[in-house]
Amino acid sequence: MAEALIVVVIVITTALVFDFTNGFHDSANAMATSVATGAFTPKQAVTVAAILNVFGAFISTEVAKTISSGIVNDQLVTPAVVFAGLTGAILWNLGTWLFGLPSSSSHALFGGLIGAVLASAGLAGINPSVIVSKILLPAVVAPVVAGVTAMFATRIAYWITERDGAHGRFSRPIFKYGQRISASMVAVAHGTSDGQKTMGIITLVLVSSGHQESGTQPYFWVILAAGLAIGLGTYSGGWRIMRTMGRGLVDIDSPQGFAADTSTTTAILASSHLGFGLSTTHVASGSILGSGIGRRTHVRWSTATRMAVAWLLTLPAAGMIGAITALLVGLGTGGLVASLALLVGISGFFFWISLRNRVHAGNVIDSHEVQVASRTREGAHA
Amino acid sequence: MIDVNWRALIEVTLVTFLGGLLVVTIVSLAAALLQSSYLATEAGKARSAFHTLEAWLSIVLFLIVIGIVGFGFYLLVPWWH
Repeated sequence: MAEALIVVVIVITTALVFDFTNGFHDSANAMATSVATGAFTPKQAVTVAAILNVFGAFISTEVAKTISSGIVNDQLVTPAVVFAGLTGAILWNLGTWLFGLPSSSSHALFGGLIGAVLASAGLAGINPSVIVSKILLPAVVAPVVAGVTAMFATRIAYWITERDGAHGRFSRPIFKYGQRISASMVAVAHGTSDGQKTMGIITLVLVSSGHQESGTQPYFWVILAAGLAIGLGTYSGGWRIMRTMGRGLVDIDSPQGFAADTSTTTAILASSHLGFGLSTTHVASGSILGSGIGRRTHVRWSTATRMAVAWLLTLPAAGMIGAITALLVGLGTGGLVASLALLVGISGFFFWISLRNRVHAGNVIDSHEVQVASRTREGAHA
Repeated sequence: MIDVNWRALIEVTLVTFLGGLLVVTIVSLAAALLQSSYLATEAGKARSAFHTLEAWLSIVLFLIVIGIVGFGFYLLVPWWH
């Protein structure tokens, strides 16, 4: 009994850690362009995004009935499988953060769960057609739809406002105000959708361990903990990814930033209300790229290619970590302790590596590159 | 058999494209009109009826955008619908 309770506590703590990584991994989705154009200072951006993430987590308690949306057989999702899936997602999130690569936290979670279920129940536990329709197809569609929209929107914005020779002296502050509003909307939407995932996971674990009745709403402390975890994660910045999205892909000007943010907001609102879910990360990255093409500015295709590779690897990489963790956890208490030690150790190692080239609020827009291997003066003096 | 909700995909694509372009066009037009009105004032020209109309039209366009943003917030908050 005591052992079962310890497992529940470990899984809930791991879920909140995932929620934290989700926050700092995705804060750039809402705020990178606003920071790049100066619509928000870096500290203002993460403060506003964190508050709106927490607000977003509180405005809906419609916890998803299935945490995996049918991608895996939810009957097979035990606390041990959830722990293994979360481990895959956390390590993938931290690895991509270290390299400054925006990748979908939801896809990492799904990948981790798929791997864990494959390891514990075999092929019968997963639904390949749902993987294609809910993960692979949207991953291709999201950046294209948002990118094409942002490209045309950017052209229109410049065509309309740059014709009078004033070079946007009066119109640019208006675009910056617009950016603040659209970025805020993305932050609220992120808190609502991603905060819900952690609430769903914790509620599932509580129900499966007999601490909560099936079909009931999440406890208030679950909503509060999930909201605060994603909010704190967002406040901590995820500056490495913010740099890649704000400076690494294209140089962003305010009309272009407004066009990108508006495309992102419209795509997210449309996808969440018309039944075809799109990843916020893929939408936001596509919008930024599209806006760069629309403005005919220099696009750093090498960074875009690295991002695309990360997107392709998210599912198999998180899945492999999830599968290995599920096999370890399947060995019993010793396996669980070993998995936990590996999770903490590898996370600490990633953090230690990141200190060699620290990216923070003070230097986030100073460069367009996120260094990992070599120590730079910037990192040494941070 | 891969079950893709093609209808939802097409709807999301169209709404994103048309909605995004609509908002950016309205804000850009409002900004350009306001800019034109300010430039005339800055140049020391007497404020003509045309420039007053530009300023008013930009306010109307901003109000339309505020309405669209309000609808967006309405969609974001599940309690309201």
